[in-house]
Amino acid sequence: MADSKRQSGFLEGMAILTGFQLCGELAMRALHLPVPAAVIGMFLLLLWLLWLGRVPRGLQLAANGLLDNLALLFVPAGVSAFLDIGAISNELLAISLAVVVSTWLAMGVSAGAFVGLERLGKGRS
Amino acid sequence: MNTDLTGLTSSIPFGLAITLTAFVLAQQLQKRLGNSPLLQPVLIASIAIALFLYLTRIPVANYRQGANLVHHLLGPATVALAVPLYRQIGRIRASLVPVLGSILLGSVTAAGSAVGIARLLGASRLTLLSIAPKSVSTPIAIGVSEAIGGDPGRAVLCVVLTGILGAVTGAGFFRLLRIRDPRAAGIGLGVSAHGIGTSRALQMGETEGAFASLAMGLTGLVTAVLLPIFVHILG
Repeated sequence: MADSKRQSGFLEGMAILTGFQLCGELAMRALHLPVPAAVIGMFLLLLWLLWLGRVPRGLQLAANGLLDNLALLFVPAGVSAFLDIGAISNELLAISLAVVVSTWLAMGVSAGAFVGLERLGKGRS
Repeated sequence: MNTDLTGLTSSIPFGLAITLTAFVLAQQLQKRLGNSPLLQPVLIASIAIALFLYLTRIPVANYRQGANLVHHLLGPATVALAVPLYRQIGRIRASLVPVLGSILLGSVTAAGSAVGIARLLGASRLTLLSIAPKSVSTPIAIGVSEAIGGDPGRAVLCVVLTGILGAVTGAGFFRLLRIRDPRAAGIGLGVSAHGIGTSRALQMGETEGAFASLAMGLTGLVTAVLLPIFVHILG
């Protein structure tokens, strides 16, 4: 009994998630947005949650299940990437240096800018 | 015998089972070796499977049959990022200007520095246009690189390597810079390393995860809108 209840909660959550992904797909196609459907779906679900004022139990279950294992979902893309490295062998040095340095730069600049802007705002108020 | 094996490796359970098994083994390896963030399971599992397919000469298309089931869960998982985002919305609203400002600066830095460095090192124009959208999630990168005349395959490669690098080195990098604010760490990971960085941020904590989700979404938006305009102006 308790088991079937839990299961329906999870399925309800998956229905909400895929439903919003579908809404994102619809919005992307109708408005010719350059952003992927799932990202639009994320912002739409956020708006819905803000309107609702709480997270339904089933949605929390499904979200936890997916987000606790999010890294796993990137493995197929990772496999393809490592198999493709041969295709860029003639520019491997330029590409890898650009990827490494710019990733660290972007990480440092954005995190540093947040800390700096936050301090600036606090100093003013 | 040979045809039987081809049938086996292109069956759904093949790609599914080796993806799950490699990931679980990589998780256990990381745990056993003292939870080093350098041994991210996504990195170890991807390399192990790629090596296995390369050595056995099993076509990646066969592996994809089953692996796509895992891959396609990325859609609902991305939508699910709204949940941590909602739980932290008060903290995001409280520092809206720093949040938006740092994300905008970070996304311009990511694309600009990647193109600048690759250009200095003599990369071809095709590569420059493919590397520019490297800090956004794969579907955006494919769309943007196509829109500006790059090569989508090369773009995806740069995106995935960027994400894995961010996830693997993020924690150590912030320690080095003495950035202890979990909100700043989340933004750094979401801006520079999209979904893979966000998955790492979620492991670090809910605050990191929420700020990374927002940063990932907005970086994608900024890059998708601004990059084609920049390329058009610069020719």
